[in-house]
Amino acid sequence: MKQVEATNMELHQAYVKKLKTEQRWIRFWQAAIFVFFFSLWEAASQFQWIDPLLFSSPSKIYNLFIAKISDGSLWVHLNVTLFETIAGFIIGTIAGILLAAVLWWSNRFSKIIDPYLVILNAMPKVALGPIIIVALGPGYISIIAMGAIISIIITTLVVYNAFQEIDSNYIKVLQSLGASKRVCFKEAIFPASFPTMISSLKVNVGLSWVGVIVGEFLVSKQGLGYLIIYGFQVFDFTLVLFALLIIAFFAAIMYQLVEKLEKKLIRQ
Amino acid sequence: MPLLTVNQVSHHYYSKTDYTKALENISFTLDQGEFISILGPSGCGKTTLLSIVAGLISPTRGETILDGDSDRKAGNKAHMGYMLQQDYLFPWKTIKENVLLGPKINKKHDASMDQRAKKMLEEVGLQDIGDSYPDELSGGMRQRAALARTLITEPKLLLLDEPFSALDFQTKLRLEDFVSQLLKQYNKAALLVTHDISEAIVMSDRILLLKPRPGEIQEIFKMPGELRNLPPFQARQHPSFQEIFDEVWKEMSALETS
Ligand SMILES: Nc1ncnc2c1ncn2[C@@H]1O[C@H](COP(=O)(O)OP(=O)(O)O)[C@@H](O)[C@H]1O
Ligand SMILES: [Mg+2]
Repeated sequence: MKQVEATNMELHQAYVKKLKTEQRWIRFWQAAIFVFFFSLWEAASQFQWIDPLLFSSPSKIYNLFIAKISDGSLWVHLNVTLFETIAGFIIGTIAGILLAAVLWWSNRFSKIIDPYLVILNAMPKVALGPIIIVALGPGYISIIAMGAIISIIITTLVVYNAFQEIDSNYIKVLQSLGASKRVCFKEAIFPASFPTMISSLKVNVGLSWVGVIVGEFLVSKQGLGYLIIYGFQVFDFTLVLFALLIIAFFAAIMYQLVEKLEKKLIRQ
Repeated sequence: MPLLTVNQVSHHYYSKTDYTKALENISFTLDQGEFISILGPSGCGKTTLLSIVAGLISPTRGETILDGDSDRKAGNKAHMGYMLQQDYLFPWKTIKENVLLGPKINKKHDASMDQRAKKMLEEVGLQDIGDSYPDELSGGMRQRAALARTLITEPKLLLLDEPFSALDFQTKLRLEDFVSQLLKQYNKAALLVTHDISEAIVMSDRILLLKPRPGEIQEIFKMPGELRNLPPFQARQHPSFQEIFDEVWKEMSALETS
């Protein structure tokens, strides 16, 4: 009996060890790809396999990075873009959820508005950019609006769908206890759809980046999107690639934060 | 005066192409403290009938009168407690919050209600788990928590829609005894919907046998006194149980073949 127990322990330890080794291999290869890619890029640029004027090089981008940190201009552009993106995706998500609530509240309204939602959803929202800028002025308000508008309709559709999917017997229980429509929404519909809303946050973060960067292209005053378009216009591709890498980094960080938030909220 | 009068109730469900006669001309009365079962095959309109009695849907024709009050809108629904096939406890609320849902909705939630909730949970044998979440409980415990949620509003009439059918057999037998004893203790009336003949026999004072398409009362069985006074578990072993079972079985089989 004891012996069996001992071998079971050993088997388990062996399993854990195998898992760890596997994990280490994966990490190793991830790091290797990273180093290989940037070394190849650097070498290709140094030896002129690619045109260094177009494709720059990691070392040039790094030098620019240091320069932009020390003169403080990175923070200015980064702050602007982060603020616009966060504001855009929060406004977009909340407005989408509110619109979904209105649709849920009035069945008739939802039927009337349905074809318009389909059209708006299918429409590429960034195409509205020039009109938004004309309407709201060439400033950060327009850019936030672009970050928001890109996610509103899809949030509405997804969340409204979740509202409808709840088991009607929960509503029956509440109604039998004397609940009004408003109470049913508060006690059952909304909390039951909470996981869907949180996962729409995750999608919306990515969408808002698109809206904001395009907005900055158009408004061309400040921000990482502006750096890209400016670099493009003066043919400074080190600047373009630098801005691109910064965007990739912070978009990933934001996505991870929302994912952490999701895990935390849904476990409760 | 009876507690509940169901007067010539008919209900149709309409769709674009067709309509279903779910119920046709149902009439019966239910007295204070009485237990009636509505027995019938699946799809004969049992759930529809309960929803009408609960005031959740209004019938195409006819009326239901509870305690002399036929116009039951939102406020008066609290006179009835509704239990469904599954517990439908809200998974994001603790057991205690689930039990206090009725008082919260009716804005009667205060410190004394907290005490009542605690007592109610003790009553259904769930002391000390008020802070647990529903998914930490077994099926039988969850159904008992749902019972506590129903009883805390002090309903005059309990509406039970196959509340034991999703449970395993042992749990079901135990819960039948439990509910039956609790109802006797508080002298509450109940309307039970079921497709289980033995359950109907051992729980009720009367059985209404419903026939499907359209749902009509086919037959009313009165349970003999010796069975009515026994707890369900013992009633199942009583000699006259088998006799009545056979009688009801024959009627019900005739329905399904015809
Ligand atoms: N919401 C509804 N819309 C249309 N038909 C329904 C609806 N609910 C029930 N029915 C129909 O009415 C009949 C009775 O249903 P129900 O009351 O649920 O029966 P039971 O509870 O006895 O199984 C069935 O034929 C069912 O298909
Ligand atoms: Mg049913």
